[in-house]
Amino acid sequence: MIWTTWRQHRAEAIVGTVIVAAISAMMLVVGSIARTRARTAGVPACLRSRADCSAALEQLHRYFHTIPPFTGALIALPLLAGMFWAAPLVSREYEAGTHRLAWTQSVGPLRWITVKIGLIFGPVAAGALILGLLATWALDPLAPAFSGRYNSTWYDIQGVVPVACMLFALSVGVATSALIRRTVPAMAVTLFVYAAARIPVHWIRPHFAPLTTRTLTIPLSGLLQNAGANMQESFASTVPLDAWVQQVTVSDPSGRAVSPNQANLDILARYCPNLQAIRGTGTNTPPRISAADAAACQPHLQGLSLNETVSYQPASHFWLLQTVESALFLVLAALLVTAAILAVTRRRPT
Amino acid sequence: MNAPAVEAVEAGHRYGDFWALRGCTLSLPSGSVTAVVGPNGAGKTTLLNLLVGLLPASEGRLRVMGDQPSSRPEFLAQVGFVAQDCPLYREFSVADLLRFGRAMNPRWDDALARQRLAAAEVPLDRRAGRLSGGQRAQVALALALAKRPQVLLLDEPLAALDPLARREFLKTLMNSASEAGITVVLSSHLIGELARVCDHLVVIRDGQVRLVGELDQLLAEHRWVAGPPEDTARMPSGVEVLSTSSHERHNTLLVRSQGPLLNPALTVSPVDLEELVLAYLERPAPHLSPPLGTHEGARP
Repeated sequence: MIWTTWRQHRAEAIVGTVIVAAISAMMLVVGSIARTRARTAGVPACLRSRADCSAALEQLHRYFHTIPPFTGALIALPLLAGMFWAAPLVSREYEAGTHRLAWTQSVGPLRWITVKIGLIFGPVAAGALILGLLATWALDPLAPAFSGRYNSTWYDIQGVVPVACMLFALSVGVATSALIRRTVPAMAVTLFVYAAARIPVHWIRPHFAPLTTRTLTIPLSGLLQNAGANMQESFASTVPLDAWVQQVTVSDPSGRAVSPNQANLDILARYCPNLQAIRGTGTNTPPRISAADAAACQPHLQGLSLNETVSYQPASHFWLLQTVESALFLVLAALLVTAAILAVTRRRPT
Repeated sequence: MNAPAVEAVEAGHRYGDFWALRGCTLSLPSGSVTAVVGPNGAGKTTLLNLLVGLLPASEGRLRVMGDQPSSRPEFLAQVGFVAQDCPLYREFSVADLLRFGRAMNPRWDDALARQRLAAAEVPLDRRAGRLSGGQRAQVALALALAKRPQVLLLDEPLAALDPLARREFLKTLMNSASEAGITVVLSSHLIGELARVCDHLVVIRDGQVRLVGELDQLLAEHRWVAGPPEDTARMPSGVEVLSTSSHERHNTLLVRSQGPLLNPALTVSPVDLEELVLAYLERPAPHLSPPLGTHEGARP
């Protein structure tokens, strides 16, 4: 059975090895260069000092756009493997009639399907693990320039999630193959089911682990110094750069929600009715308020503050989220594999 | 040798509402060679797929070498199967297919397979997709025989073969089967070719077994009877009339009877296999009465 599997799938094995080797080599190069670039741009040092690193990060961001788009290839790989390797696995036998040859040999159909699944899923999962860990390593120095490792494109190709995605895609392929018994419809259904299962995960993923919530009190008087700006611009975020922010709510002293884009002047005007904005002369000059107005307003703001509540997934939850998501898809994969095995072996006499 | 090698009791298989085979009862002794004949769609493939465990029985009971057909390795090791159209992996060379057989069967007899293929002059390095119909059939047969089965089931193995290849194939099959004492069941819609090789007969039509028995006995029990209508109309009890054709003052009947027909007014002549099979295939389906042993009456 091992020889049979090898003989039938050796071309796929060679193609798979070449793909893994090529993408791995590319990631090794990209990862090394990215490390050098990040160091010369001073990104790691800057991030440690918690200063404004936007210029250095912008430089890294630009660099990334000059490298080949291996992230897209990595996202597509599970789907391609499911459609082109797993979906024909059983249906090809039905279409050629060779299931009547294969499943009447002494080893029997149970051994046939389990050995095939084991020998194909195992090495493919190993390949996905290599690619996932290499992607984690290669993208790590670039992550701060791309809003962290939770970046929705990158999350799917890092860590152990690619392994779970790969096994899930293969399981969808083999189950549809065994149930539908026609290769092209099985490929189409694999595409549809995989996409239908993976796309919604992007929205539910943040809830795979409890969110961290942070509340910040902003004294209203603080807005006076920066009256021309809006809420968002006035305060440095207290949430770490590499966190995955889910929700930011700001409420004024009376508990009403304030949009982070709201101009500070508008907020202040509610408490200091006589506040006069001095319009800037140029278009780029923000409005200001006079020192006298600011001083007059100050007493009205005494003791009043805005409350900002931020909920987010901290960077430290990366592996926790990865594990939960992987476990979910591995359970689905196990159910699909069971369905495939039953479909092949259920022809027991009643 | 006493227990039948292949046995079916009221066995049937249903696809949804359609019974592809129903009420199939037969018993084939060990070492016998049985021809399952009938038109396309009669249920021959269903019967063979039931016997090899590729299909579950929807009703009734099946036994092959005393075992219920299933996908268990212990069962499959006893049964050699050549499926319809002799499916082979097209991209495999003949040598690859032998390796496949060895990898998939613990009792594989590689020498036997190679000897058969050498005798059939099948090149080992040719890919299965490029073999002729006759060569494909020979390879499929070699794969089934090298499993060292006790029962060999062949589904329409002759269909794609020209007359010479058919003869070669049957010769190989019969030599191997008799050497190893294998019980053989093969289906075909070609009746003439089988007369020489088989000793048991199963006639199937519309999912029903119309006739089953040992060939010599069936040929002895059936005969043509010709005579004037007044004599052919009154047959003794125990004689079943299968068909009647009338000419002026002269009727020809195909009858089945255990004993001899003693009426001197009747001319009795033997029946051949093809006539026998056709007579049973042309009869209306015995839906309401048991097919054999009772008077059903001839068609008017």
